[in-house]
Amino acid sequence: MMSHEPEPSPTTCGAPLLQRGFDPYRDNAGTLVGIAGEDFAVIGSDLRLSLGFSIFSRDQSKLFKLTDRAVLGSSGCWADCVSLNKFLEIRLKTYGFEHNQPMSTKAIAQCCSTMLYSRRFFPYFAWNILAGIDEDGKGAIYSYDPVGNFERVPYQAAGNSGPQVLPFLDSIVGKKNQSNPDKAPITKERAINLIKDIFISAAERDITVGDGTHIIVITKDGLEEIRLDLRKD
Amino acid sequence: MFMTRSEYDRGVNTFSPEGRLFQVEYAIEAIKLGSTAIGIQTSEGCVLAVEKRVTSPLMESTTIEKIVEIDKFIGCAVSGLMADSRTMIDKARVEAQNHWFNYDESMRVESCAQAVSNLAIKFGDNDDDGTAMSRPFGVAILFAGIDEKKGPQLFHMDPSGTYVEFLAKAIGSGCEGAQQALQEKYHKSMTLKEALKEILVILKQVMEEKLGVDNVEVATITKEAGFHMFTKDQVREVIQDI
Amino acid sequence: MALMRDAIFHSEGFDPSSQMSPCAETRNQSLVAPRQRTQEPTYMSGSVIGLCYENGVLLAADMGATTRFTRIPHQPRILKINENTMIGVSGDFADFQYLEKIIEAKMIDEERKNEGFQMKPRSLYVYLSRLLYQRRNNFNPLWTNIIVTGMQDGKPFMGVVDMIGTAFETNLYSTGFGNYLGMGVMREAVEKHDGKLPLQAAVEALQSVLRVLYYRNTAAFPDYQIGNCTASGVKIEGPMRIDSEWEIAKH
Repeated sequence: MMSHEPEPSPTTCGAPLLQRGFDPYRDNAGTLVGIAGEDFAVIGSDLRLSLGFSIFSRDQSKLFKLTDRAVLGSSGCWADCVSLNKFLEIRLKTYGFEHNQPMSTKAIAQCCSTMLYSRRFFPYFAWNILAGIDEDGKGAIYSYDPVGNFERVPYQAAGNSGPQVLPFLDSIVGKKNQSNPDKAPITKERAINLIKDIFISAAERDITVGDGTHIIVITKDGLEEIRLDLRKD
Repeated sequence: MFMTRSEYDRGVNTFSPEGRLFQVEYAIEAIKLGSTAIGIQTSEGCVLAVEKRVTSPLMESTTIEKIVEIDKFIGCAVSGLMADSRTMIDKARVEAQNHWFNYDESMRVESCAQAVSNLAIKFGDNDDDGTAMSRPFGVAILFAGIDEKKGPQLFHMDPSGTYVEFLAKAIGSGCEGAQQALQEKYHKSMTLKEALKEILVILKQVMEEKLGVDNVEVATITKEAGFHMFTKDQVREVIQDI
Repeated sequence: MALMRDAIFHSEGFDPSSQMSPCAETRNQSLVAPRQRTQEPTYMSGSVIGLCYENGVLLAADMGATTRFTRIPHQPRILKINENTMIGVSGDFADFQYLEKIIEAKMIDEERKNEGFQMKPRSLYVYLSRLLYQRRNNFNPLWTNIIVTGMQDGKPFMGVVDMIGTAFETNLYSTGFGNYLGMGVMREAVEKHDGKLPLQAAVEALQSVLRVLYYRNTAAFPDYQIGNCTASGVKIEGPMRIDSEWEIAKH
C-alpha cells in the first residue's frame, strides 16, 4: 500500500464525495424578537441583510405577513427564508380554496413545522418565529428550529442576536429570578417599546443588527406596522 | 337504429346528445337498491341510522358495518355497493388524518366530503391516467359531523360526486318514503333525543323487516362525545321508547 | 452552519452520494461515479455595479473574464433583455453564457405566448431567483451573481440574485470586490443628492468605482460598458476605457 492516492472514504463506498467546493448555505444573519400579550402579539426584525462583513441591503424586513392575524419572521439563509415563505404562501392560498376559511394561527404553526421537517435531510437554514392571535383571541408566539421542532411560548428571540436578547426577555418579560415580580401581563405599549429598545441595544453589540427595525403588532383588528431607524454602521 | 339510449350508456365518459352521463345516472339508481340510511342534523349534534339486511339467521349481523367513524368528529353512513364504500371511507380517513398531521386541527365535514368527491369522479376507462375505478362508485354517503365554527353538519354525496348539505336526508331503497316523513317531522328546534327517536320511527316505517337491535345501526356525533356508536343495549333502549 | 452541513453530509450515517454506489462490489467503477458538476468556477468575471438614480437605473461592468493565468478580454457582461429590462452578470463566465441562452429562450417563449407582452424586470428577477435556488438544491449551481435592473411600472428597479438563490431588492449594489470597495462611494453619491441622484452624478460615481476596482484588482480590465435604463428604453454604451494614472507606480 504505497499508493499516493488517498484512501477511499468509508462513507462514499469509494465514489468521490459529490460537492466538496460548493456550500449551499449562506448565513445572512437577521434578528427576530416576538412577545405575546393577552390579546395581542408583537414581532420585530432588523432591516439589515448581510453576509459576513458586507451589507447586502439596509431595508430588508424579515417579517412575512401571512394572514390578518399571523406574521412569520424568518432569518438565517435568506434564499431558504424566501423559498420557505413562498411555499407557505402557496399552502395558505390552497388551504383557503379547499376549506373556505383562512388558516388559523394554530394551523399555520403546525403547517410550518411539517414544511420545515419535510426538508429534514437538506434543511432550510431558517430560524423562525410565528406571531399571531389564536382561536380564543389570545396572543401567540411559536418558536421553531430549522428542522421543524416547535413550541408555543410567551416570548422568544431568534437569529443572530437571539442568544444575547433571550436572557433579557427572560428577566423583563418572563420575570425569571426576581424576588417580588409584578405579575401583571405585559401591555401592548410596553411590549412595543421593549422591542424597540432591544433592537437599539442589539445594534450596539452585534454587527449584523442595524439600519432599522420593522415591528408588526397583531391584534384582533389586524396588523399595525412600525418602522424605526437604527445606527447604520 | 341509433334511437335507443343504450347507444350512449356504454362509455362512462360519453355524454348522450341530451347531455347526460348514463353510467353515472345508473349508479345513482343503484343506490336505490341499497339499504336505507338516514341522517338528521340538530343543534346538539347529528344522528345517523341505517337498516341492516340480515338475510339469514346464520349470518353474523355485527359484521355488516354501514356506519363508520372517519375522525373523532366525523361519521359516515353509506348505502349501495359496500365494497366500493370501503375505498371511499379509506380515502376520507386518510384525508382527515393528513389534515390533522399538517394543520393540527380536525378536518371540516365539508372538506371531507370534498376530498371524497374528488375520488368519486376519478373514474374512466383509461388505464394510464391514474383513474381509481373503471366505473362510477355505486355508493351514496351521508357525512355527519361537527364543524368547529358552524356546529353540527350533515352532507349527502351521490355517485356523481355532488355533495350538498342537508338538515335531514334519507338514502337507499326506502329513501322516498323516509324523505317524505323527514320533511313532515323535521323542525329546527329538534333535540338530539327527539331526532334519535324520530329517526328510528321513520326507519321502522320504511323497513321491510321488523326493526330490532340486530338489524339497525345507530350513531351520534356530538361536540361533547364526538362519534359515538350505539351498543345493542343503547339501541334497545331507544327502540323501547318508540 | 458548516457544522450542521458536515453532520448531514459527511457523517457515517447519511451521505447522499453513497446512494449512487449501492453495494461494495461496484466500488471504483466508472459506472458509479457521480455526474460531474460545477464544483468550482473556471473563467471568472469581476464586479457588476448597479445604481438607481433619479429617473432610471445604471449598470456598469468591466469587459472580460480571467482564470488565475489567462484572460479573455472584450467580453460584454451587460445584457439588454427587452425595452425595460437589462441584467449584469458576474461569476463563472461559462455559466453566464448558459444563462444568456436560457433567458433568451424564456423571453422568446413569453413573447410568443403573450402576443408581444414583455416580461417586467421584477418578474425576471423572481424567475432567476427560483432558477438559481433550484439549481443549488440539486447541488448543481450556476456560479453567478446577477443584478436585474429596469423600469418597473415607471419606477427604477434593481433586484439581486446570487448563486444559491439569495434574492433581494435594493437601490444600489455591487458584486465581487466592488461590494467592499464601491458601495460606499455610490451610497455617498445617493445621500449627497438626497435620494434624487441625477444621471451625470450617477455615471461619475460608477466610473470612480470602476477606476478603484481597476487599480486594486489584478483581474480587472480597463474596458467597460455602462447600461442605462430609463422610461425611454435600454441603452448600453461602450466599450469605453477607464482613464487611469499609473505614473505614480514608477516610484
